[in-house]
Amino acid sequence: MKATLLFTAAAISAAAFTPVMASDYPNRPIEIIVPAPAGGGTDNVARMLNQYLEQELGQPAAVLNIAGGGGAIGVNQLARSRPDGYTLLSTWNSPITTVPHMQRVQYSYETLTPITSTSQSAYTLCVSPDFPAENAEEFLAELQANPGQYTYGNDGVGGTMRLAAERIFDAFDITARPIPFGGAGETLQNFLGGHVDIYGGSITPVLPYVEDDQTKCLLVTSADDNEALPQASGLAALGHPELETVLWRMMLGPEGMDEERAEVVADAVARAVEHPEFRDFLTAQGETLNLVRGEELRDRLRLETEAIGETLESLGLKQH
Amino acid sequence: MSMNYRDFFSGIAFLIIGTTTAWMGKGFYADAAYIPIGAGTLMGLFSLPLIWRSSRSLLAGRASRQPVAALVDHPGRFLATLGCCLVYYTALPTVGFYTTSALFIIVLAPVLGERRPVVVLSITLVFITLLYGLFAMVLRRPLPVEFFLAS
Amino acid sequence: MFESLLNALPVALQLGSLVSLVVGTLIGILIGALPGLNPVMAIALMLPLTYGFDPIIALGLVAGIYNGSMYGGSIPAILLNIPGTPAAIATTFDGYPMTRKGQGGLALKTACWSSAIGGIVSALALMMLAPMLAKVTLAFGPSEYFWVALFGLVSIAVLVGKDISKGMLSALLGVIIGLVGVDAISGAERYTFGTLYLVGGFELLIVLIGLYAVPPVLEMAEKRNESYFNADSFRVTAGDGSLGLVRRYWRTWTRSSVIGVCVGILPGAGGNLAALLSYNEAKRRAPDPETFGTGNPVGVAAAESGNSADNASAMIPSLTLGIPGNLIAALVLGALMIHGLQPGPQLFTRSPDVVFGFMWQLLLTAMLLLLLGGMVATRLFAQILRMPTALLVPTTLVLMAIGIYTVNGNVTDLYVMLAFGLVGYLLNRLAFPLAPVVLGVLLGPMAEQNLRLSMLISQNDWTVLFTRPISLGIIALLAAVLLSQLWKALRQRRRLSEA
Repeated sequence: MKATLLFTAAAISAAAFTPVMASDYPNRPIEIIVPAPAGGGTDNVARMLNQYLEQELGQPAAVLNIAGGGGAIGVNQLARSRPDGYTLLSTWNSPITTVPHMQRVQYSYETLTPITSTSQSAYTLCVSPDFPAENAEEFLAELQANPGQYTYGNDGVGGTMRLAAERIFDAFDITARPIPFGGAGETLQNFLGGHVDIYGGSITPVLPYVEDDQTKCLLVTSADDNEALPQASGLAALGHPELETVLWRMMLGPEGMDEERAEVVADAVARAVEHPEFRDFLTAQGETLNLVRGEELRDRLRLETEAIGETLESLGLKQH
Repeated sequence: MSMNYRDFFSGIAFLIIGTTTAWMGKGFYADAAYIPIGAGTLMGLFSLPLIWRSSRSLLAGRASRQPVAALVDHPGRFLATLGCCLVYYTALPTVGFYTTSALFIIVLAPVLGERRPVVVLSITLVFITLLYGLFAMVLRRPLPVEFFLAS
Repeated sequence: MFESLLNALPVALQLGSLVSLVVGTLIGILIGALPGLNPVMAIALMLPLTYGFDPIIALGLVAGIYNGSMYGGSIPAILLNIPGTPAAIATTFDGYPMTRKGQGGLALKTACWSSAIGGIVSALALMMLAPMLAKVTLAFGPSEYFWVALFGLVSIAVLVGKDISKGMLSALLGVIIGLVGVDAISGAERYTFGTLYLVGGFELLIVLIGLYAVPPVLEMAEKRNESYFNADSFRVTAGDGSLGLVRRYWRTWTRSSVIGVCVGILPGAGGNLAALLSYNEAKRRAPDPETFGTGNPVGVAAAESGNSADNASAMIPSLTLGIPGNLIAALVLGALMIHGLQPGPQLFTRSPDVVFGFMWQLLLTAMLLLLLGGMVATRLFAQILRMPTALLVPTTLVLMAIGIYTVNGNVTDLYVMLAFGLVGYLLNRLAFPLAPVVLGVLLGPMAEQNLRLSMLISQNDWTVLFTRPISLGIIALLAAVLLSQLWKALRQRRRLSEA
């Protein structure tokens, strides 16, 4: 019986079998954890990139969506997985730099292996067409004049979006009431239905409504203005470039992942983003390329984690 | 054990779960506490009629009218199945998906009374091959790697 | 609009589209019928393979898997008492008793026709009424969602079981299970007992598979090794021709389809709520409500047409507004974006062929079920039942293990599934209904979050819950269900005391 079993096992795995050597990484399919639900912004970008990454790595790469806990659940799972380079993480910044201040997690920017950042984009604040403001200054003035009156939908209590907004509101001495929804889709639904006054979230979902003049976006949370939203001002135009909080995406590995293997992946990403289809896709999403690797990436994570920790502390939101 | 006894003990169990939930819920921050306290209290309240009815019937010595099945029909097979499942789940990540699954079927089937080795082996072979076809060829979903392939 | 609808028909009828529809439907029925494997996973894994082709081919595959799996879920529900997908829970209530009575063939045929009709009505609603129904979606704010969740929770807890307090206890148990994890509004941990696993809460699918699919397998394992199904039970008798089905069930189908479409346009609800509400309504309206749960085919017809009617209508908010109604709709939006199509209101004018073509595909796959469904179910799955139960048990457990593992790639989930299986087994034996537990897990968090969101928005003004017209409508419905149930109980008691 044992012989039959071994034969069976060997026969069924023959297709996947290739001799194991250290230098020919990757030699079997890779799993990429995306700590967000299938179909969201992070997931779409990860899947789009994945198509070209597969070609560059020469091995299939499967996206595994592990949503929940503001992304912490997926990252926890990566942190526990074997650091052999066959389990990688494709994430946005919030689960790494914000969530650890709010929840108990099994990772930090110090332990995860930085591979490369990929692209970035800003959050935006939008209002309905009859809102009494036509540009960012008027918008902020209106909020200032009516403390506690306006509600803004955001991505949840530990989310970077809320933080980005609170940093700006803090600097301009504004009190607005945050309403935490389950993601940009839910925020958009409640904003369009008139249940909250201000949309706060990523740019992509709200773009079609800007083109239709059903909404006006007046502020983006990056220092620079955003081409896709001409009516909105960046923070530099408002005199506060230091308040920039952006949404950026990166690939990370578990602690102790071989550096050569991290290099292999980073090189493959650098080649994958050169595909014109991927570039067009990013432009349509209002995102720009941004490739930072290895220790430099870790520095960026450290700076952001510290800055966010300070903001959270001053807002009285920090829990860990 | 009659249905009255079962109702009585399940009523007590729900009363305990309900009060514990509500009591732990008290410590939650502001509006995060409302529903936990509410749900726990309601559970405690709804368990009372169950306890009341069953204890009254029990005290009056009335037999329950509901037909009662044994709690576990065949403890041996029940526990064997559970035990095999636990071993299966434990071995899965290290031994690999296809190997462990094949072994699981080959072990559990005779335990549950299938004594024809040809039937067991052929069905296992066909089943595992189909799974491999579906997951490795069509869906390309990585599963725990076989121990003889891991690097 | 109707012109673009007609123009898109040839697009949906292209050879490539037709092939993907047939392949998708077959894969869907298969995935739906295998307990543990779910359509979301299948679509998420299949979509990347179609990026190189025309978007209509990818969408055909989605339409097929989506509609096919909704019907596929009913096959093991009817034959083995194991729901293949969460939405097939209500199908087990009468489908499995029918199999035990030797009417398995009739149950499968009823399920197939009901799924097809539900799917067709839903697709037609999507084609004709999408922009109008999208406005309804937006009118539902947090307070309306709260009432919807409460309505589903209370009406089902009261109606499903025989004993109201047991029904409510089950529902509350579900609500408490749903409370575990980080609270989305305050960010605080609740009932996690210091473990990291519980921080994320329990995954709905794992709880559902555990509670519903594990107990029947354990029960099967306890039986003696024999195949207790005979081929005779799959014979359909002469009186059960297709026309007979249509004549008998058109009322149930119409009602359940309307319920399914209504549930579908609300993002976040879902097929199992649609099926359970339809089942309840059919039971409430029936002249013989006591036969429900003992193998009444009307129960199967209501559940299956209800859950399939949820399908296409869940695409309404995603296609018209760019707001995904469920995970599959989110994947469709993602696929459109990757093909360079921006979801949102302009999709209809910018790429009408794709949008309307997809609607036709949803309609066509619902129709395909009639052609493929019966054949696959009886030729293939009924044969599996000839397998000795001693082999059926381990193979089913392997399928559930692979299904749960693919959700998160985490082995702990398997132990949790088994634990919930034991809880479900125990509740069964203690005569507690399981459906309210499931709804508690699903609707409890929905009720809580939306109640608190509406309080946050209104700054703790409780009157907002009772002043909005839609909320009042739902409250009236809830009161009607409760009062009619109370009246029935009183009348029954009076009749008993008179006798």
